Amino acid sequence: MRKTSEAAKASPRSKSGSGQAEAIFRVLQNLANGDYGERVDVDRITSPQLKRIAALVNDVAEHATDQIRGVQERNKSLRDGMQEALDAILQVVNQGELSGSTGIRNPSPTLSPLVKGIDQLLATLRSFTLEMGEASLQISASSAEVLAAATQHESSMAQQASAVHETTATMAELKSAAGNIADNARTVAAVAEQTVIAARAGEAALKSLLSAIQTISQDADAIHEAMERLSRRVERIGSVVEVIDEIADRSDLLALNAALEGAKAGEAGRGFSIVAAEMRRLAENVLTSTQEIKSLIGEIREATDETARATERNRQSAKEGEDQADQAMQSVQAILAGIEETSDAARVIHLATQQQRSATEQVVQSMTDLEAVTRQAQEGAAQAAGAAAELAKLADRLSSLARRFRVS
Amino acid sequence: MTERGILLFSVDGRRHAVDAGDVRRIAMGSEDEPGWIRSSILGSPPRPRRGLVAALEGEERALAVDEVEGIEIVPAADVSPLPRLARETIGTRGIAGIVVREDELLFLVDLPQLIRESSKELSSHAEDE
Repeated sequence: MRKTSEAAKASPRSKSGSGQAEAIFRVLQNLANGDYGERVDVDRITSPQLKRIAALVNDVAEHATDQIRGVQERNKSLRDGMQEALDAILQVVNQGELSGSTGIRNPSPTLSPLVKGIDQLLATLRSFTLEMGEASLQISASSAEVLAAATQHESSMAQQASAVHETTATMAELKSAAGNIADNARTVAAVAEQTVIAARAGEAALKSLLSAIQTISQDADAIHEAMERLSRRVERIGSVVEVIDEIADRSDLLALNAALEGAKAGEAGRGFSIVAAEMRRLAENVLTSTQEIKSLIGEIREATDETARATERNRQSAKEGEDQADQAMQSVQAILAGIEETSDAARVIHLATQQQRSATEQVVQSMTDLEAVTRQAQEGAAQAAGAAAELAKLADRLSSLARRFRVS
Repeated sequence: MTERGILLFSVDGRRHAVDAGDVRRIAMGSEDEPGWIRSSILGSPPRPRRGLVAALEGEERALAVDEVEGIEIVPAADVSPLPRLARETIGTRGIAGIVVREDELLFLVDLPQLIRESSKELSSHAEDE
């Protein structure tokens, strides 16, 4: 309700001109202070000029009041529109409702852009939410695939790392074995060299032995011939002794007959008998000597026969020894050839095993590097699997967030 | 004191004696000599070295002996004929007596008689065969 200024209410007749102006001033002051409800009681203004001013002030106040009312109405309308838009946004925020629009029909021209913008925002959010949901599903599926692939890759890398480790260990053992083989091959080569030297010494010794055996054989032949000559001479001596024995026997017989005749002659033949007895004694001595000679010849013959047999055995042994030495020489030469081949082969093996050891060392180093790389790859695969798992969680969370918005 | 010349010989390892007068000569032993007696009551020398040759009925016959050891002159008293009992019981007349020689007794062989008996025995054996 509109108030009338107290000054204006005062009787104009009782008031002076300044009091009326004061009333107008007061209304203006209130207007200035935002109080649009007070008016100037024009009827109480006596001065025409002040009257027109008071009427103008009242018109201004009335117009301002109308303006303020319009503004207030528009503000209310805007506030209501804003409230609706805010409610729609709160609904989106609180309930994730994106299925519709703000629901504001025929908004004021002032709010129309806002409502249109919010509707477009909701549409954009709806589209974005739909795309986000689809993307989160795709990410979830892809991350699951990545996780599976990363897990499988990690497993494969672990197996590969294990295999590489085992291979590295095996190669290390192979390296050690190659080293041992190289050492052994070197030893074999050295032994083969020594064996070659020993075999050559054996060959020289066998040549000396063969020469000695040939000398022994020649000596045995010479001894055999000498023994044959000795045997022939002994036989000749035996023949001579036989002749001597025969002569002695006949002398003995002659002496016996002489003694017999002497005995027959009696005393006259006594001297003859003595001579015959002496002759017989001599003949018997010769016979005894020839018997001794025969005995000695027999012993010599036995000795020469034994010597001849021994010499023959020696000759045979020398011949066999010569044959065996020849065979041994051939064997030693064959062995020497084989040993030389073995020595050459051992040297080749030694060189080959050295190269193998070097190559194996390189392989071991490469395997060690490969193992380190594989371990790193395994760790990378594990990190990838972790990241994929984390990504899957994030995708699930994103999907969960997206599901919080209803889009249909 | 009279003396006798005796010839000492051996057959089958036993020594015997024969009167030197009964022996015409001493021959060299030979297996192929004809008229030699190789087996007698004295034995059979496997390899006779000597033969005691006697003259029998105008021809020489020899008794094969192993060895003739020598001729000795012994006192006649050392040569004794066989006692009659012995002569009758011995079954041969080829042993004429006994010679005492130092510490041994030797048969004194009657060489012609021994050859004669041995020849007869040899002939009867040949006829039996």
